[in-house]
Amino acid sequence: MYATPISELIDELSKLPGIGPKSAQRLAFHILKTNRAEAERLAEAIVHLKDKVKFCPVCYNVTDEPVCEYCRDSRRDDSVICVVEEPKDIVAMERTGEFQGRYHVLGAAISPIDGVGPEDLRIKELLKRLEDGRVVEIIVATNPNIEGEATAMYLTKLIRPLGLRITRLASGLPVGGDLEYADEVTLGSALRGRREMP
Amino acid sequence: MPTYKAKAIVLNTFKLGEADKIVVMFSGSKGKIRAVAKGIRKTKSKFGGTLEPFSVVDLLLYEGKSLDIIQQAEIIMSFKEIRADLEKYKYGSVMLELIDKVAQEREESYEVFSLVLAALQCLKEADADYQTLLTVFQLKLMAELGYRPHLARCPACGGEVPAANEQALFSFRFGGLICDSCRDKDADAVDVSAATRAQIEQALETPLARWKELDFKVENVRGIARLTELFVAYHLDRKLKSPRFLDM
Repeated sequence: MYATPISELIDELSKLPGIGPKSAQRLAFHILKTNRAEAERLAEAIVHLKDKVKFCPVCYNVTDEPVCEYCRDSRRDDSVICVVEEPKDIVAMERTGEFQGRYHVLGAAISPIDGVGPEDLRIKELLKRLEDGRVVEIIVATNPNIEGEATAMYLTKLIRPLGLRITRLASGLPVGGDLEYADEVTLGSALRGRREMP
Repeated sequence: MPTYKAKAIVLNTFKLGEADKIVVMFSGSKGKIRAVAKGIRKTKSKFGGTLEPFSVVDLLLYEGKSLDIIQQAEIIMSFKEIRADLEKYKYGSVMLELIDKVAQEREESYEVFSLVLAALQCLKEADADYQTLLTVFQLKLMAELGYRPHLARCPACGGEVPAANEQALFSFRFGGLICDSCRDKDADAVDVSAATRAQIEQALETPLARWKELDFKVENVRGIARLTELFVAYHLDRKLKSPRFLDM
């Protein structure tokens, strides 16, 4: 229907998440209308992303430096590692401004039904980081869903014998929410994790 | 858009788009249901923790073109005890995956639904021997689906099978114990010990809720578990993913 270069671009764009054939068509025609410099910037940005961004060899965050900014920063606390599923979760944790330790990205969560097991996660790499004895606490910040919980239980089973403190992010009521709309699992977990008023 | 109600067990979930999930469920009234839970991945979603695997929920759904849309969901039983125990979770995952593989959409399946519910209840209350429970569940599920193993007469020729105190050949193709003269009809038939034969019979006769009365010795549970595993695999066209994590 369209000239080959246009349909090729539509094909590629429609492979992106959340982009259907109609959106892909709109994007392709938008790019066609923009000037050459702008189109080149987009093309270059994509190529740069693939060329420059690598996994940090320490924590497996994504980075364009040899080691990521959180592993490089000498002011951060070496004795605590916060374990997350995805690099995006580091950004979420950093937004709180409440955590000053190091990170470790597992890359996935355990889910037997989907065929994802411990060997598909960067668990060996995490255990390696615990060998020098500097780390005293592991904060498991995997998602509060079934896969995240299973991963947390598995990590606890592995790490507890090493004598480290292992903690899990609290789960409970969202700030600004209404109690009556809380489901019983969440509310139960909030009740078990209640704390003394300061 | 027409709406309908259903009571279902959540089997699995998949991320969809920015904050949605596709929830795969199994109900008695409609068989397998695949529906979208909009915004469920946001922390303030009204769904909260209601649509996690193992939850049994009351649902109100909009009928969509390809996927239905979950309008309301309320927990009847959360089975959080299974989710909070790594061992139970692993065995429970095999049960859910199996149901996901055998269930059909838009097919009434009240018997299978009660069986899964009973199995999850047993798993929740159990404190050991999960492999026995899983094996009994698998055998009963196969029976419910019409693949009850033939143990009394040879399914290939109707002849006598070896006496109960003897070893016999189990054919997956014919779906049961075959007699000596039919052994050439299925080269893949496997040897089954007298003990395992007795166990299969007991497992099929005993109601699931009384599974603990089954006196499967730990060293013998392997035989029946392996046989059941192969039997189930023969009738599914795809291999289950979760069993290989049982010793994780």
